[in-house]
Amino acid sequence: MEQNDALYWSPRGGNNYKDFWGSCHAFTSKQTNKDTGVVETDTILVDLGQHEQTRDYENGRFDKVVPALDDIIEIPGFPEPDPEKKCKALFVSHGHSDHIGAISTYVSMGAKLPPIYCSKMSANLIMKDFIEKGIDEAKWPEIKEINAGDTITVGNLKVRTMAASHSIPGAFSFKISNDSASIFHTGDTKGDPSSFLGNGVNFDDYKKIAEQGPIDLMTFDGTTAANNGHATYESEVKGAYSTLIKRHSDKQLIMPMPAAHAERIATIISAAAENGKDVIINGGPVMDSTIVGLQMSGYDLQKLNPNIRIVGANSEEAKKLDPKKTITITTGIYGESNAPMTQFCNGDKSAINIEKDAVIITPLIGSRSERLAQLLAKCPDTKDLITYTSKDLSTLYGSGHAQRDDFIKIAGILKPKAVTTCHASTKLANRFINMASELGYATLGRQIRNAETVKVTAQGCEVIPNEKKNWFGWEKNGEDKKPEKFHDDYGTVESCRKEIEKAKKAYFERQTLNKLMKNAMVNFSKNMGGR
Amino acid sequence: MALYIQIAEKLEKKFPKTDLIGISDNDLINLIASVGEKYESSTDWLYKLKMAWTTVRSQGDNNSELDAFI
Repeated sequence: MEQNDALYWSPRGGNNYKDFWGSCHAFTSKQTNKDTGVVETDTILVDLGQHEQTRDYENGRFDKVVPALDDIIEIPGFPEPDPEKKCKALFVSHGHSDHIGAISTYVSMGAKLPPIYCSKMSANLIMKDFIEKGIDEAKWPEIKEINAGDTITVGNLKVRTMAASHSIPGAFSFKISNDSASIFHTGDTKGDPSSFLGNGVNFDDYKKIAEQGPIDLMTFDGTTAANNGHATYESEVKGAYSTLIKRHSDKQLIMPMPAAHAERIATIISAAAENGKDVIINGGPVMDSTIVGLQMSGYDLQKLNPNIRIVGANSEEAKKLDPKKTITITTGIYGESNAPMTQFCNGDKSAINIEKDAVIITPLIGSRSERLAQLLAKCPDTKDLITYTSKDLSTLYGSGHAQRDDFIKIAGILKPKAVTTCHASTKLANRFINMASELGYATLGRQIRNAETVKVTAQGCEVIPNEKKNWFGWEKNGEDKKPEKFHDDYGTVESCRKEIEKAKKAYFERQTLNKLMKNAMVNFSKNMGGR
Repeated sequence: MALYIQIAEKLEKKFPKTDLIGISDNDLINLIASVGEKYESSTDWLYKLKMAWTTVRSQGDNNSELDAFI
């Protein structure tokens, strides 16, 4: 093996200073051809997302921010990239816009995108973006559907797909390897084996991957990885809903939730089916779009739950159903002005049918969702209704990202030689580093910043610093202009070290507090038992 | 061929209350004909049109989605 032969990973978005939006990761194989002696270079991307909170940059002067990839993708108006550096394939982990939203931006710019490999669900959401932007079908890039278990070869790179569990079906983790090394890129996952759309994580598949050879680096979903416990599984969420449905089986049930949470809609419908309740979908067009997207991708909720009826609120069938035998899934969890629940609370009683003794079940969590709580409390028609939130039953809420126990489980199977974060801010990455170190895993010492590169070989990882401008930004109404390039301000290496120390201290303080609380609980239980 | 979004805009204008979750393929084809557009029998064409229709309908909908990504 030659000196430069290695697998290189470079985050190009999502490993930001303040947040984790705009996911994009480049993986490059450099491998010397044994016959010719020529070093062959193959680059692929995983995800091409847009930044969801552009106000985080340059005092919010940009309206749109996406990863700047002019060094590996041919874009009109930019110097043509070195042919050997051009990206040969784009893999998509899942169909959320912070992972796919920049694809349509690049197509609109006239960029020559490589073939896109993704699940049918992701493909449909990418196409939805093209449709929404009015991009002529003839200009759409080639999209190749892939499934969990597939291995795709791109030059000297092999990409093996595995089912990931997130809040949307058709999500993947990837093992990316060449002759020099292997990287396991989790994408967004919570390591949940349960899914009511049939796409949970298959740990047997992880075991197979582990048996095939060592993982030299794992880039792990860092969003909530350092939080104690495990992510709430869909089976637990279903259990919570099912308990409440049983408790109020003779009442109309109203369930506000986020409109695009495809997995959760399926979970709630599954709980409804378990209890023989028909379902009315009254969440407005974004929720309709989620359901149609699922249908389009082979997830027909009606076929999955044949013992109940699932109907749109505008349908004739919905009007014929006895409200007390139904669950209405709706939106308005954040008090959005167009959502049916909000409109109802603001006086438009035609927006949604709510009986006088209906029961509201909703995963209200965090300050934003307090708006709905306030609206419900103020509205004369809802203020006296029985309402359950995550405060009453915590498993009504569950995020789509792994926590500490999920990391322990996944890393325990894959046994990576080193771990680091993807999809994490500097702060979240620091928390993860401390947790992983405490658990005995080698880390790369600090967050790998956008545009930096890690050279990975069987012998270890080497960080190659880089502060090149990694983002494209467009000001409002300037999307037809050439974008400006800029970079995250991560601070100095010294300030980074201080941040890690600070996070370390906070982490150990929290762990100590948790241990103390646990001991206190154990003692309390013992004392209670002794009475 | 008209873009999906253009056909969807015509459909939304004429049939704003249509239930997009439950509409059958045959009913959708009839609606397409009634706005003077032609149904293309290529793969997923109807679904793409339905997706365009939900997109047209959701313009201005401020349902916040960020938490769904988390």
